[in-house]
Amino acid sequence: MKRFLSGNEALAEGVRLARPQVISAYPITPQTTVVERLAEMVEEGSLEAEYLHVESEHTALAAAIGAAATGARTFTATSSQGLLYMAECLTYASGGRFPIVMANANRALALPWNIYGDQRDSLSLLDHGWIQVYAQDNQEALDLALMAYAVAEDERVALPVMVCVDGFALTHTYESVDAPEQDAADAFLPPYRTDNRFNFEEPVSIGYSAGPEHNRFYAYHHHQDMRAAEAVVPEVEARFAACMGRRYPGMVEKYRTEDAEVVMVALGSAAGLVRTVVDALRERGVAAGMLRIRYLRPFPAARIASALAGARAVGVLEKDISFGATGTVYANVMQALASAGVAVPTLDFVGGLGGDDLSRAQVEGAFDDLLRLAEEPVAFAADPVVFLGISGAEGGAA
Amino acid sequence: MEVIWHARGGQGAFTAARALGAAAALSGGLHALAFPTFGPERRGAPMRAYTKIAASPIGDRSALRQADVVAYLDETLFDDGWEAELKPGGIVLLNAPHPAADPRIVCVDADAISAEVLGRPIPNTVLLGAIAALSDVVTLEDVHEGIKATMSVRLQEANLRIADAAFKAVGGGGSARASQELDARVAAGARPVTVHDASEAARQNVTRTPYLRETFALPEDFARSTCFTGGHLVSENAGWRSVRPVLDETVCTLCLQCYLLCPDGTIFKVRDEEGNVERVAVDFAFCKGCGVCAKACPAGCIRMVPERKEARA
Ligand code: SF4
Ligand code: SF4
Repeated sequence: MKRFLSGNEALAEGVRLARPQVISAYPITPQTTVVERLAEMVEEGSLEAEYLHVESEHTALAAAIGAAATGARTFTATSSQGLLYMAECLTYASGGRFPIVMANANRALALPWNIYGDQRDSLSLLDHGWIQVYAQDNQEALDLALMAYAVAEDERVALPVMVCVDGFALTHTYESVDAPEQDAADAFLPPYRTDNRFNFEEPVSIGYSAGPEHNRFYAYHHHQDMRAAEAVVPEVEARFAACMGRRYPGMVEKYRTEDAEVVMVALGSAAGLVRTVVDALRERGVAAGMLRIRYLRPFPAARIASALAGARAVGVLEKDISFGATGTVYANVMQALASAGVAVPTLDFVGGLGGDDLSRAQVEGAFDDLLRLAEEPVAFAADPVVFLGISGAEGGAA
Repeated sequence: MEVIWHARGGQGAFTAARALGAAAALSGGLHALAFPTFGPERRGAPMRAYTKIAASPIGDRSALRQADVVAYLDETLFDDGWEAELKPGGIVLLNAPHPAADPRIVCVDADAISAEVLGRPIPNTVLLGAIAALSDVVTLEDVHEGIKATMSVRLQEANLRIADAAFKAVGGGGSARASQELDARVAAGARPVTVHDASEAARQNVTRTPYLRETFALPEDFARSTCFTGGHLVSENAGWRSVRPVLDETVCTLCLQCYLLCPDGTIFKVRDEEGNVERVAVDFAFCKGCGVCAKACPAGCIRMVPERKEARA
């Protein structure tokens, strides 16, 4: 059914359709309306779940871990400082191999205090063993809530998934969304069954320790199974398409990259704007393209490298900076290019920090830089990082 | 069609933005985005919302700088900047009781129209109805659907009536475009709209905090620190203020409770030549109108006075 929903409402709708048995939550802007909606659903009876209103984010995830450890399908949500506060528990969830789905409303990190959107929160926790996927619009936020469970609970994967939605740009923006019927959702996502659970008849320990002689195996399998998700994602999306009629493009989305001379890599909702600019450039005869990274973990390095291999200049547009280095997405993309032996000049466009508007003029300026970079790579040799709104008048590195 | 909504928190601008988006997306068969920019998160603070409507999916989620319709739910927010936000051929929709001289400005007495139905002025739906009358993009029927999709059942009936009344008031449904009627009114000698600059008004009779803000902070000054001598303020926040403290010096005992308790440190001591405190004063460039000082004053000598009334007087 077609509805006009905010990203958070869409996400909550997707979660409802997935029938989680336990929801534990603590409110934080811009995530709050997700768990508020879910609380209303539980109250009005449209969702049958145990709703735990806990006293902190740390407890929200700890409770989710406890619930998942009894074999329950579990949901939680957070943002920014809340995500950092639960960081300790992130590795308990992933190391424990509990297929929790958590929504993270991407928001800046303090200090300075700021409630608005950027992606520093989830990107700073890329290494905590969770699958990370980024939605570009409200429809995808809803659909990912459902697909995330299918990926997480696949026994080849058995890992938690963080569904990242851009704060405000998605969470508080309304647009029309197609909400699937419960029957279709049920056909797509069967109930969660697992052996990795606390068994009341034959109790087991779940807070295990693994000394030097065993530790590497946990790490190795965690790594391998995370990798396996790269094969599971397309399978899940094919099943989703069969049930819902909506097809998703897998780990990455290539948009007019085939013959592109300049390609912008984007993450999350910024892709909408990049796509618009790419279309405008194409109309002017400029061979521009976009590569949208959907899953950042597991990292689809080979797919990224092959999509970028033909370009003469590549940019990464991200709402993130790893201080003193580059943006985290850029660092990852560079690793993909280097591993595949792709030599192409690159720039890292850092913008939209702390809710700063990512404007069309900035993205156009960034493409101008890429076109110039393709012609004379040396001009940009000093530093690949371009702070949009600071380095140049409208986004240029000049 | 693109719409910028100007309002104060609590006036329902975002609800209107959403209802318009829903009207276009759910009933009009178009694509739409509706989103707010949250300024300071409190009632009375100026905020904006945006509605973008197009025939194809909208990728650009950035804020609008110009629009076809720029709607002001609160007349005190209308200032010299209005023209810059207008696309060629665009119109301003202003909640004001009197007509405007400039044909690009359509005045609707949204407070009165909504008060007639609701008993109190809530202007948002009035402007929705007006947009249906003035634009070819959404019809009144679409707006009805938008209201139903975004407002609780309890509020729908009254708001549908308000939209209808507004549609009529702006001349919707007739054969002549509303703007023509407007031209006629202008020709008949309508009074021009008074343009308020709220921040300028607020600065009158202001003694600046002498030791704090001779100049205002620039990014270079504050970007490396979040500690400020004057609380957490790095930019003027007088725009948040919908009520201002007015201090009766004849009653003030100089107990300094207000000085201590003002959360933003915007009350300061004024000293005489010997250095004795002779009175306290408010820095209206930073006072956000929270009213803490008025509550705290044991002598009851601080009154909170609506900015709006004063601006209109
Ligand atoms: S109204 Fe609030 S901000 Fe203004 S002077 Fe009083 S206490 Fe300070
Ligand atoms: S609290 Fe009242 S009496 Fe005391 S200094 Fe302030 S205005 Fe004067």
